[in-house]
Amino acid sequence: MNTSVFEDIEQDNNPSFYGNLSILNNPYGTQQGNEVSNPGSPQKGHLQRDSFEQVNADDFVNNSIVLSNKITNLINDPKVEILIVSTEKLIKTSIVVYAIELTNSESSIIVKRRYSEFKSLRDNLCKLYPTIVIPPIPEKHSLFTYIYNSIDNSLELSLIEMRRRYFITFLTELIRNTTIRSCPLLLKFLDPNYELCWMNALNEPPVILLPNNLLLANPLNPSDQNGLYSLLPVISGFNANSGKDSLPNLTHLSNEFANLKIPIDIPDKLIQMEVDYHRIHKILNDMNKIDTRLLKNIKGIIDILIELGGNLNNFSLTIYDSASEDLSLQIEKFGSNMDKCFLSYETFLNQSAIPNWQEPIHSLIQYYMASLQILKFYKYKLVQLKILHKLRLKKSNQLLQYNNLSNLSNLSQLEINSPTISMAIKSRQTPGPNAPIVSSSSKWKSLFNNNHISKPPSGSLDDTHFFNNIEKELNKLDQLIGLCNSDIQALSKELQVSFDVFNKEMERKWTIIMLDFIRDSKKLFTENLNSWSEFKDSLT
Amino acid sequence: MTLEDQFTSVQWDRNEVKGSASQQQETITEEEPETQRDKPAPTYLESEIVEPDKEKETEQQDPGADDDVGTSTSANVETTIVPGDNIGGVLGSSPNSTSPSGEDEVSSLEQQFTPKPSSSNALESASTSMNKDQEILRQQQQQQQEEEIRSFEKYNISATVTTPTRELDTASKPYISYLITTSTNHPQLKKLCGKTDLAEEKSITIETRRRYGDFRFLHNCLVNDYPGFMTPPLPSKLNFKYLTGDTFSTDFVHKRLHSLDRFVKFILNHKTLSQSSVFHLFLSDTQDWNSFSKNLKLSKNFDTDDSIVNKVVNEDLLTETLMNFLTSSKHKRETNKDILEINDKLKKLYENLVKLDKLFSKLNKRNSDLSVDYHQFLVQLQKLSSIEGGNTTGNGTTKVDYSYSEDTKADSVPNTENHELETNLKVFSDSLEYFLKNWDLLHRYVDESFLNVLKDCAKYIISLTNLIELHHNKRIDLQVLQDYLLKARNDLVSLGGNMERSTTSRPQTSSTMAPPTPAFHTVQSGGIVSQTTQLIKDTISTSASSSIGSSNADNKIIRLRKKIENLENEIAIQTQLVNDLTDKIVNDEYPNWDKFNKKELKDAMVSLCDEEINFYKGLIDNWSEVESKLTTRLEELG
Repeated sequence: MNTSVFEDIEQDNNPSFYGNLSILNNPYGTQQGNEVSNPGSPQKGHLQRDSFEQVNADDFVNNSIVLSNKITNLINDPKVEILIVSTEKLIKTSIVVYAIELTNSESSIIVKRRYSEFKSLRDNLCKLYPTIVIPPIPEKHSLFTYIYNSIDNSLELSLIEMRRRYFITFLTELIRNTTIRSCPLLLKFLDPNYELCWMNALNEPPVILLPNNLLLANPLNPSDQNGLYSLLPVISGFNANSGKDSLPNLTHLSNEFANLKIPIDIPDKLIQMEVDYHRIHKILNDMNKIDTRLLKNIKGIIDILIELGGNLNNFSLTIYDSASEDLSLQIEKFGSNMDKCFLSYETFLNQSAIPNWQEPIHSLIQYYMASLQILKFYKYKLVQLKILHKLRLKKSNQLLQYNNLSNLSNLSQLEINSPTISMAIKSRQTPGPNAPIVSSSSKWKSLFNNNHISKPPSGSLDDTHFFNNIEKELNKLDQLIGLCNSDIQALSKELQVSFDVFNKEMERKWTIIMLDFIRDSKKLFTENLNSWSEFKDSLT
Repeated sequence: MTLEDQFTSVQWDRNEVKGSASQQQETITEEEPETQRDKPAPTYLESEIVEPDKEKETEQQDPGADDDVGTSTSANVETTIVPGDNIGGVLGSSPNSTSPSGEDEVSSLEQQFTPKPSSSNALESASTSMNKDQEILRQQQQQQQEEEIRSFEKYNISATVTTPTRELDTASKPYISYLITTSTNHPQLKKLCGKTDLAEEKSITIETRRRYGDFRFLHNCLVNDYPGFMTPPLPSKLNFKYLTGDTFSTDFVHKRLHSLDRFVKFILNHKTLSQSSVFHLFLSDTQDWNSFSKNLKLSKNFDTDDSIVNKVVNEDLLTETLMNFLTSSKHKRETNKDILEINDKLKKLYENLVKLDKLFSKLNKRNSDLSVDYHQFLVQLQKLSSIEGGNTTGNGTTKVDYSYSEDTKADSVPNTENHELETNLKVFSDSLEYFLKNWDLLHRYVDESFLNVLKDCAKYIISLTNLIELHHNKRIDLQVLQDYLLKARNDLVSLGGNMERSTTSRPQTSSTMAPPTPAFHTVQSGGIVSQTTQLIKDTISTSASSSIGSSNADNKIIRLRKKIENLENEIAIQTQLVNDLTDKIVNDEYPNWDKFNKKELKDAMVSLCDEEINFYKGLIDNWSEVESKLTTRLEELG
């Protein structure tokens, strides 16, 4: 079984694989036809489909290598700039592609990606790096908003704009992270050669190396192919990408471990962080709600200011005559002042309040959500360890029982001349050992998918095969517990480091948000101050 | 006024009357030269119609007619009293109290405020030689007006209403008093304060405290004394807050303070009202005012009178519908072009002001919503910062027993970072708090001052339109009278009498039927109207009886002639009145108001600018600091 897993590793990251025309002849999905309608990218690295036929495979391989080197260079350049230069809607579909441009002083590269590709990139990065908080992308819109947007085009445009901003931060953040920067999946994402065949990238390492269930992977390096991991128990209800976690909090888990006398050390810092993250998440959620209302109110103010400006102008016109020329003029100035105010408010709302304030705060929620997700993974790992410990306890009890029973059978051979004792031995022998074991196994059964470890004992007492089996299983369990223990130790350490980075990042984000808010508001204030001063000058 | 309205609307169609109004006017003026030729002696009556402005000269030229008129005055005064529901009218028509002489304002005031004795006096004096008195009075008034204008130009009074203070009255009921600081070189005020020894050009400063009731008292006095003038409206008493007992909220007091200040300013800017001795007494710091306002009860019509003139418009009820009487069809038939124009302007301005007020109120509501939101946001921020801070302390107390040595190092780093974040969040939330505080202040200012100006301006417009309304009603009365004159003449012709005889008999009739009490600009409006009403009533009764008892034709002819005489006299007076009023509205009251209104609006806008500018300046200064702090932190973070 292990060998079959390891065979997959042979499919390495060799770019020559991408040059295989058989794959190109079958690019994924419906996108192929639409993609043709896109204007060709001016970049030399961006190859058109037509050219694929002409270029021979070797050239293509070389080309690909040059290209991937170029991307690596770009990504590793600290001065690289990531922009989404344009968004376009594919003809006859509702698919929107975002043209990502990476530029530094020397070169640039353009690749087009759609939302679902961003999403799958993020999902897979989350799986590949379960200890790193992956930056968020906007949630997929619901069917309702989808329908709603198709009615109101302006809403859709604002949605696209919002996603555009999100994607820029997403990619920038990814590239800032040294670990993720070197991830082949990210490179492929930015590779124009993979523009038409993202699915292929997902079917290649490292993604393909991920086990179906993340709990069965090495938490520090999920694409590690250590066969022992596949023997770990699977816990139902675990989904790497779902938000909710139904597990008790870390404090509770830590107490449980203490009760079970399992020598595991959950750092207090992580326990504290979980509590804090939950609270911060809640606060941010409230903030987000208030934000929405706030923006609505600003919108309302803008509407009233528009109305006011119009009415004042109308006012100045209706009272205009030679006698009240002054007043009319003053009121007109007042009206134009109101118009200016409304304009600066509107710019503030659309160019500052939404992109620099509301969206970052919303993304903060997602950040904390992601961090809680990581903690959730950590907790599942702990539960896994707990299960292993319990299983081992059961097994050793079983062994003990077996030994007892074999002793008991020895006892029956002693021929004690007492009918009561022989009766008791007899009744003990027949149903005795099975009942508790069966019940316990059924209890654990639900938690295991690969149930071969906890196979219930056959019930035949003198079966040495069974005895050997239990011995073997206990060995395996000890191995697994050892693996888990070291994993969790490493995970704890890794998580603390990762969360320190994350906290720092959050502080940076908060500072940026606050600074942006202050700056933008100051701009608004200055504009308003100017228009009011102007108005006053015109009055006096 | 209401009585009169009902009356006319039932009996005549005003519009019909209006249609033929100008025509009638022509016929009257055409007749005049004729009558003058026939009987040159009583010229002054006709000349009054033709040239009301020159009345004074004519009267001086022909003082001999006075004795002839004198006897019948009492009868006319009686007819004025009969409608009775308006004692103020009688009061106003009594010559002694028509206008405070200014020499001895206390006595004149007393006469005004104690109606009964003065009215009996008036009757007595009227019975002797009414007309003479009237003419002298007119002269006096003219002089006085000129004097007032002179003293308005010569002396200046400036007063401000400030510092509302909560006080307790004798029944230990709390009230708010307002400080009125006056600085003036007006001799009357100096005299009132007993500072006559000062040089004339030197000005004095008077400080006195008045409560709302005092303002009300002054307002009522002015409304009654100067019906032909636009008296500034007072802030309403019937605020709903009054019911909830919250008349002491700073919000309410401040709004009222601004309105009272405006009230005083308007009077000061008015060349006649500012010279009113009641007003001077009000400004002075003597005890006289208090003894007046406490002991005198202004007759009940002030409180119950629901005519629009005296109505105080509630701030909350300012709507476009209140101005309906401006747009009603009858006013579209207003003939005077100037008045029409003024009316139109007022209407436009009013509508705009009300709309503006509504919009600003809406804006204010939004703004306060916004401030609530920001406040909630602030609370969340503070919570967040406390968590970040709590995190720090939590880390401080945890035991550091990790097997990895790096962890201890890693642990201390976020410790300071979280602390940094906490302080930054705090800095930020402080700046938000500063913003919120000033934002609220700004919008309280807009609500209390700026919107108050808008509302007050709208109310002043109502005040002015009330004056126009009064003018209009008088015109209608005049037209009704003219209509009746025509009717009576036609009756006379149909009965066989001729106009020649009627005009020749006029000297006798005019000696018996003297013109009814002339109404001056100081006459209370209700008085004028009720007189006219009574006259019309009389006319109807005679014309009705004439149609039934046609047996005694000669008697009827005599009576009709008398009636015609009576009507002609009345018309002359009314025409003069209306023309005077038109003149005053067009030449004095409207420009005066216009000036005031423009100044108020401009001042309001300027001070709004100042507030906004200060608000933004303060914010920019405050937030620049925050910005620099945050920028340094961001640079540290890289």
